[in-house]
Amino acid sequence: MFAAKAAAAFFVLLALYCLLLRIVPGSDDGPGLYDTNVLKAQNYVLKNGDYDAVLVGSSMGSVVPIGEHSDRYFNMAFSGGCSLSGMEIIETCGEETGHYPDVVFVEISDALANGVDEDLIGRTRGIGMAWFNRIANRPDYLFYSLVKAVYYRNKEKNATDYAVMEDKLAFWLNAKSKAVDQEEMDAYIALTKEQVDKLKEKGCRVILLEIPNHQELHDLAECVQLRETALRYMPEDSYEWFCVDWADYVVPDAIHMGKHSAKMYTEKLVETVLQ
Amino acid sequence: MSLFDSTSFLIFLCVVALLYYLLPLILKKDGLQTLVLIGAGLSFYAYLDVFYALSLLGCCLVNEAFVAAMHHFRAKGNVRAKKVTAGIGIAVNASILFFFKYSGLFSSLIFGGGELTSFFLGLPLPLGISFYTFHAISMLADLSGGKDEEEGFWKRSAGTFCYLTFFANSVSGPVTKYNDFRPQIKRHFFKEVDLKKVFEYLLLGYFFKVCVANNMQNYTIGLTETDFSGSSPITILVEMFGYSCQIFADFAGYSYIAIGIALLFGYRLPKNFDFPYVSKSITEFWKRWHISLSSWLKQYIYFSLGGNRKGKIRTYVNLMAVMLIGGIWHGADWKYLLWGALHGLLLVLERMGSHLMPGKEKKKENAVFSFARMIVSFTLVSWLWLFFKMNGYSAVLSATKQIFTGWRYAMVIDTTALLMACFYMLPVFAFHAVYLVAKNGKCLKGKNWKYFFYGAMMLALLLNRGTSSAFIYFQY
Repeated sequence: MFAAKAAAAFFVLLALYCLLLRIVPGSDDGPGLYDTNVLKAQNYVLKNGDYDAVLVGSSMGSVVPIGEHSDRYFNMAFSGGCSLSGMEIIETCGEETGHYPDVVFVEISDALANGVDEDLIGRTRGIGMAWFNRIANRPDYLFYSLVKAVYYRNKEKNATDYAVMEDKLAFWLNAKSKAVDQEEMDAYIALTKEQVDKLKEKGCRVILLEIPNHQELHDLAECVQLRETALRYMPEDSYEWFCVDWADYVVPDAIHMGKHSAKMYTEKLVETVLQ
Repeated sequence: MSLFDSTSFLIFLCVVALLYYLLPLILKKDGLQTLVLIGAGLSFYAYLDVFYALSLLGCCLVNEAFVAAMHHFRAKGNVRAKKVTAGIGIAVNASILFFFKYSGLFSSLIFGGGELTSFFLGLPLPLGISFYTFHAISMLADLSGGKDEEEGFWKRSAGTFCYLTFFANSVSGPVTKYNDFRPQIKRHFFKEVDLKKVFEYLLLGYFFKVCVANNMQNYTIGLTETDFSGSSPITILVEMFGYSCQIFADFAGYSYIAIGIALLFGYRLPKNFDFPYVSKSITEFWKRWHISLSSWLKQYIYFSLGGNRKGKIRTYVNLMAVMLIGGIWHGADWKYLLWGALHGLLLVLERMGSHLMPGKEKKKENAVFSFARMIVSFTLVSWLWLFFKMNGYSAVLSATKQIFTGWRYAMVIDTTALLMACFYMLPVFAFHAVYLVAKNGKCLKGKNWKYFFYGAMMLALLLNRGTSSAFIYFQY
């Protein structure tokens, strides 16, 4: 009797909860950065990868609001991650469903230490994609979506670009002033090239992006090293690159574009490549 | 099987339970259950690290030697020798604990840096040593009281090993007194197990650990900073109360799981938590938080020092001594000693207050005043938890200063993180609120309302699991 009552309560609540999930509008992001990453990856797989254009990369690319232009475009850049994880998800999802995006934007950044996020990828496969393992079905995500719908209803977060934070700029100027281990850089870019080539073989048009950082970082040792290494492995005559003048963009914390600049960048990207 | 909340542990638990109840039926031998528990306890430790299992085995062997000697002296009628043996045994146990846990701290204090200090600091800390050493001390102290019965070698040894290796509580408690545990070592039958209680304890425990504590850890990470001069007071306060809820959910969750597992094997472990955040004073808090440790310290240290029978000043000194020992027991770091000292100071001040205003406690308070006292006690306790979480007392000072002075400046506040922290505090507050409401007989009188909570907890366990992490108290 006890077990039956407990089970009955569980199923009634589950039914009510499913109803609530249908009523509350879902948010594009989750309560935490990692939740947002998993949410993006799971949403991509749930739609069978059926998109015209997908952007993969790190937090630098995640600020690019490509999805606002069309629901056929999808931003799968992961904060704290790198483009390798995104490309692997596109590839495995494509193998299963046969859908590959027409265009894949690949952010080429120095997110070397981030590496491939196996846990994240695991959460887009098998049991990781089970209904009860999806971020979009979590009560905390539901609460977050509700709060966001109410609290941010009339507020556009970061509507204008903040002024450049001098301490952050100083930190990155120092951090990127030295070249990193060339072997490590080679290994990372070689892996990126391998993934890019696989996507090209599947018929995807791959565009390599050098997402703008603060212009003062442009000619620092690490940025130059990354650019030269990437061009050595993926030269402009065989690979498509999309580069812009960093001076045109406001990057408040030195590495992530402000909201307004990110919109400008997206418009340029869409106009130049997709239209 | 590194954690109680891993799938491998649950499989292990099922296998052990099956062997525990089936083997005696098949082989028709009563003592097999105890052997299964000993084997399971040692395997549990060995799976985590062979060193842990060897340490525990060493502790069992050393203490069994003392117990055997005490039995020998008791048989000879030499009570004094028996008590001396118990005293030596307790000293040996305390020394082993001191060697592994505190030698580095005291070596750095006496000799400063250097090879000796590096050696001591590099010593691995056996898992659960603080808990099973306290069990061993309890066993020797209780046996020295002369209540032990005449037992054969195998039965006695099995009792010692079973008490010290019982995997449900040897890692992180609840600290169980030998006299309470030993009579329970007997044949248990599955039909006698209160499965409803087992389910309730396990569900509540896993809910608190997996859904509350494991998720809350993402929103209290900011407390590990060392400088809070740039943080907003609101953020610090929410994280402070959030950590208070996290440590409760983590440790109470663990304790409920341990009690549930023990019940599955027919053993009753003492209650470890009794809704501590409804306490209206620090004195009451210590009657509700980590009750098994408080009770152990009270019986074996506070009473041994004379308790409150030797005058007011001596009572204050004894309270302070117990809290200092309780503080340093948590870890070889001065911050724990300071944490214990501050709790001790508050206890002494409250005791002084009760001495100055005798009979005040008996008067019935109005609800608003009671609630205000509850809030003050919770705030004080939460502030003191900062010593646990933060990197040293300078960080605690920095955060405290910012709480009082930071309001003048406009700070960037991560509203989402604060809201999510509040979201995860809700179950802890609701848990305490339900207790208060039920205690005052306002509503929730019927029996069926609890099924709603069971359903909600099961739903949360299915959908809202946090990233797995070690129990906070596993390090102590």
